[in-house]
Order: sequence, then C-alpha cells, then structure tokens
Amino acid sequence: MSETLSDEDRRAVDFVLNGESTVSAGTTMYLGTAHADLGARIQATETLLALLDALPVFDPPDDLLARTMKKIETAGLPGSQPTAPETSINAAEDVASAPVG
Amino acid sequence: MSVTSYKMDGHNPGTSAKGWKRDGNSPPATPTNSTPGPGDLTDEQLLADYREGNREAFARLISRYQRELFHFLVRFLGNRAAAEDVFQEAFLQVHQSVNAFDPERRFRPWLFTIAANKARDYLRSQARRPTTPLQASINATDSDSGEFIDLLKSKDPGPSEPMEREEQQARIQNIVMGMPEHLREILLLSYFQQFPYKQIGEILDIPLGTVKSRLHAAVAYFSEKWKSLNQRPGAA
Repeated sequence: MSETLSDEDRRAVDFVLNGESTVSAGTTMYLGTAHADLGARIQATETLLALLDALPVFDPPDDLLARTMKKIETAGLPGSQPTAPETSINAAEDVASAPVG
Repeated sequence: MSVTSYKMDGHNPGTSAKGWKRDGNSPPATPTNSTPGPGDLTDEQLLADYREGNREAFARLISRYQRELFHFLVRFLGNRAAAEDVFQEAFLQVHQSVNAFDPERRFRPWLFTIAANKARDYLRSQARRPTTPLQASINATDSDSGEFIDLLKSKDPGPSEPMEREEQQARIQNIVMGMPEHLREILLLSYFQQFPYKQIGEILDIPLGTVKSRLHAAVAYFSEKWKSLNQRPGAA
C-alpha cells in the first residue's frame, strides 16, 4: 500500500486515538511552533476520523438475546465443547434411506 | 427458564482509556464496565457467577454487550445478518471457553478477541464462496439480510436531510468496506470501541508496534481515499 503518514501525522493519530503525549521533556524549546503545528494536525485528524461517525449503526434485533441464550442452552454446560449436531446424522440417514428416483 | 424471559440490562457498556466511547454517538461520561453502578456486578463477577451455574448472569452479560458488540460487527462485516450470526457464535464460544478465562484479566477485551476471531473466520469463509452480485443480496428473500446499502435505506433520513449527506455516508461506507480487513478491524476497535493500543495488541495478538503501524496505515488509507473521491469532478 502506498499511503503513508508523515511522522507528525502519526503523532497526531496516536494522540487522538491513544492519548499519547507527543512532546518529550527535551523538546521544550520547540514548544511554540511545535504545539501550533501539532494542534492543527490533531484537529485535522479528529475531523477526518469524525467522518466515520457517518457509518450507519443499527441496534440488534429485540430477540437476539433470547436466540443467543437458546443456542447456548442447547450447547450444553458451561465449558463443554461443542458436539456434532444430531441433525447431521439424521440427515445422512435420510439421504441413505431415501428412495432413488 | 424460558428463553424469552431474560431481562435487558440497562447498563451501558463501553470501557475505554478515556472512560467513554464514540460508538452510537454516545456523549462522553457514558458509564463503563470498569465502574459498574452501585449494586451492579462487574463483568468478571457475572462470568464467575455463570461458572457457578447462574444462567441469568450470562444473560446479563449478553445484554450488557449486545449493542456495542453488534455495532462493531455490523460495521466490520457490513452485513446485519452476518453480524447476528457472528454475535451468537462469539457468545457461544465464551460459554464453551468460560473455564479458560483468567479471572485476573478483563472480560471486555477477551470478548472482543473472540468476536474478532469469529468475524475474521466468517469473512474468510465468504471469500472461499462464489461472490454474489449486489443486486441478488438486495433482493434476497431473507428480509433480515442486507448489505450496507440496505442499512442506509432503512435509516431514512427524511426529506429535510440534504441528499449530499446520504451521498457522503455512502462514500464513507464504500471506503471503509473497501479497506483491507486487518486495517478496518483495528480502526473500528480503536475509534469506536476506544480500546487503548496495548489492549488492541492483546485482542489481535500483535505487538504494539504493529498496532501503531496498522492504525497509521488505516488512517492514511482512509484519508487518501476520501481525498481522491472528493477531488473527482462532480464530487461534493
């Protein structure tokens, strides 16, 4: 992939997404210009990422909890490993015993 | 107990480094799982109760996470029906692996580890299948099934919303869904779920440096695509 970020933009992304401080103690003398530039980059990053809020979001269906619990209850006790569903065996028997033609 | 008798847990999940999440445009100060209200059990306590045989505790856990996890899965998979399936598979895996959970760790990152694995499995299984034309998906008889285009339709913004807004939404969806899966996944975990980088590394089982490089690549990808779309003649 050809898309890359500059070091400054990477710092801005890390600040926005992870709250990482980007100014170390040794860079105090550059704070004036560095902060102004970083502030602008952080703002630009926040504006860009805020576009993601446009992604549609849907609430789960009302019965998802009940369906999930039902699935779990049929799976056995907590910690138990899944077993082959009975239907697969029955389906195989059905196919084997089905009349040809 | 009847499967329909489980009560919804009013607890709003969303642990984050900053204590709030962007998911669903929730305002800051959303309560987190780390700080349950008075009388609330933590996720880890609920899971411990479930290990002791309290099934209601598991229903409460599902209820607590159903909106957040479902939102993540819909955004990641771009398909509501698939999100429902993967959601159920994820909690089934939690149920099956409950004895393997380390009580010293947090439940939320563990849940997202499982869910992200299940979602990736789903995408790989789909990649092995013959592709389905978009129109066929839209016309599928299963009304619950749908691609992002359906989701957009069903969230009718109303006549007062400018058409430009819809077009912008569609463009953003296209960019995100066109993003390589490993970049989309990490961007959603970071932006919407607000997991700190360290936890994302644990969820995806990758080093911190890889978390950073993937997130930087994801943002760069999104930025470049967005810019190029808006530079096209006629684009808003």
